[in-house]
Amino acid sequence: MITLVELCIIIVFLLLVHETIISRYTHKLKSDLEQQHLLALNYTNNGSSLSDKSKSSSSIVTTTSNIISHIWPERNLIYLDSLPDDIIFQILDNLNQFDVINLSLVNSTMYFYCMHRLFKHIVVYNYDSYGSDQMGICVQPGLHTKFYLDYTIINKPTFLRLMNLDQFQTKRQLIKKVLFYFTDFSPEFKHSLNQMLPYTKFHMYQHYKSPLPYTFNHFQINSMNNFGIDYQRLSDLTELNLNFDPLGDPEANRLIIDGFTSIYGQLKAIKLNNFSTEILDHFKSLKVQFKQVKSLSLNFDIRLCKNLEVLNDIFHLDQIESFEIFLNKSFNVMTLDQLQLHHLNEKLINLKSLNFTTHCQLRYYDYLSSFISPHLSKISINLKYKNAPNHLNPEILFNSGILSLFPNIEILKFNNQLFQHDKFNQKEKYALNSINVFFKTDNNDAQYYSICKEYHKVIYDSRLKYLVMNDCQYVIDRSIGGGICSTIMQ
Amino acid sequence: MSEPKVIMVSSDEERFKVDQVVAEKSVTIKNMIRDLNPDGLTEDFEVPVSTIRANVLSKVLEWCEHHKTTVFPDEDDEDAKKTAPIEEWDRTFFRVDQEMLYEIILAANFLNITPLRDSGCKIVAEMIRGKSPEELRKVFNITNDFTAEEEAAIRRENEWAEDR
Repeated sequence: MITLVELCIIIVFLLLVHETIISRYTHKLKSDLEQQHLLALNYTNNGSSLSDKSKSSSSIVTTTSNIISHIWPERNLIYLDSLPDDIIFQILDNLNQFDVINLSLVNSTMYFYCMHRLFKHIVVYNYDSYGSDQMGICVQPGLHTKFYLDYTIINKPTFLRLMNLDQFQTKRQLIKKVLFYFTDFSPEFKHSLNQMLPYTKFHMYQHYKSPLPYTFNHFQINSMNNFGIDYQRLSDLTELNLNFDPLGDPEANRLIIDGFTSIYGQLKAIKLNNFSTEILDHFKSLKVQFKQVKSLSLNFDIRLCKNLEVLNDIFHLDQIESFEIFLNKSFNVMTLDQLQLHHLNEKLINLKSLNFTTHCQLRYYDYLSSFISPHLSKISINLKYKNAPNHLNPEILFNSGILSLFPNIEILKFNNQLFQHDKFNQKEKYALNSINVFFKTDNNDAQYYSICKEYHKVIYDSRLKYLVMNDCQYVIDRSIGGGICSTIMQ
Repeated sequence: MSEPKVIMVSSDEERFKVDQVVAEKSVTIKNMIRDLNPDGLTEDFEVPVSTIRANVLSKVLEWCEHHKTTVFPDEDDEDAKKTAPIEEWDRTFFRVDQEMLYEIILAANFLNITPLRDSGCKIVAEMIRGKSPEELRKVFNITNDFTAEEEAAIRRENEWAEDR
């Protein structure tokens, strides 16, 4: 009896070893074949024939696996270094240079992969040229923002050493791109670069501390390379573009916001990219006043910011004239409801220009209907989702009647194509205090009325006096509590 | 008549019957269905995935089921992919042993479920972050194949990228 159990255990052990070999082998195979599923199908068949032996006895494995797990500790059949190349490279893409250096020391396989990552994109600083005595690189090992995931950061003397040492001769070929954060190149230096790295792309980057152009009123700051900003130089700034790093250190994001405190009052335009709820809350807690901001641009991810209500406390929404919003792919119709954008839109009563880009499929005319600004003269709609061309038919927009709610509309753009419609021409006929709604329904007044009722709030809150529906003119009577309009002429 | 289902058969011949929308989170399966049934499915579609074990496949399908309505950033949009944080649900989902984690990544790679592969790779990257080579060898159960001299040489060589 005992011998039978032992025999069984030995068989299972052999099978497990066998499986290890197969799984290692097949995973290598797979990376070559994954592109085409037809090939993949063949491969699946091959795979099964390869592992026929283990499969035919798989029932034994499963029934005895419980026993084994008690006898042997769990075994890792796949190891980090046995994963396919592209997966290892993808993992490395999520590490900064210090992680990669540590990983390169683990074994020779990882060393091979890590060198490719480490040399691929390089940023070169010249701290000397800023009069700083820091000779090394000011990078915290814990930083994992996009900038540090993409680049290996080194200083100029190190870079020169790298170029000249023989031991790096083969590694230099791995360099795909070098980004210089200084511009004082000598012709000799340029020449030697091209000789040393004939296949590398070179980029130059103007550092924020380098002398600024005299008429400087636009500024962009990315949280990932927030160092050495001289805030004193920003007294003429009127436009600010803040790119936050949602994955970065929250403290770094807060520091950026705090750094600009003195100039918020003078800004006329601000762009906020990748902000999160915490960032908006921090703005609010600072009690900063964006007294003059007339142009607001928002670009964010629904997973990071689910509520825009706080914008009302930060900005004077009623004086915003230009509003841009980008809904990226993180949005869907459900999350849009959750965001309650219409609360924000209703506050933008003096809006003149609206730029609206969406990667998520939504009824944009419903979205438009939540704007009640009578001054809106320019609307730009960009639909970026797949199948968008089907929804680009402006007839939908015209038939919905929404467009007519904006009596001053002069420019309408769909995916950057200027669109003109003869309905615009009728604008003059009814002056600015009238709107023209054209519903495609049966000739039934009751039905018009019910449709009209849906947009009751929009019409009621606007300054319109007349409403024209399918060539019938109605006057908007605000004196009667519930009444919207009554026919005055047929 | 109920909608046709997709039946995925694992390496250990367990059958998983799922909605088409769930199975089509896998681009491989989606293309297979499109190519073989250009007019749409009329009956259940059976597909063998004999590289994937049942317990891995069931995890992968759990993920597909949870994310069946999720809209993911554009595949070409490297920036969006890199900066997107790991969702809390995914984080909990990946609380498995390393073997399972790798198998899920490999299954996602094979089935071409990019967002699952991305999440998995980020989880592995987080396990690597901030660890010394010794810790890494221990955590990932990797044997050091360098001699002491070689290791010292690599440490010297690497100095260019870490002098501070």
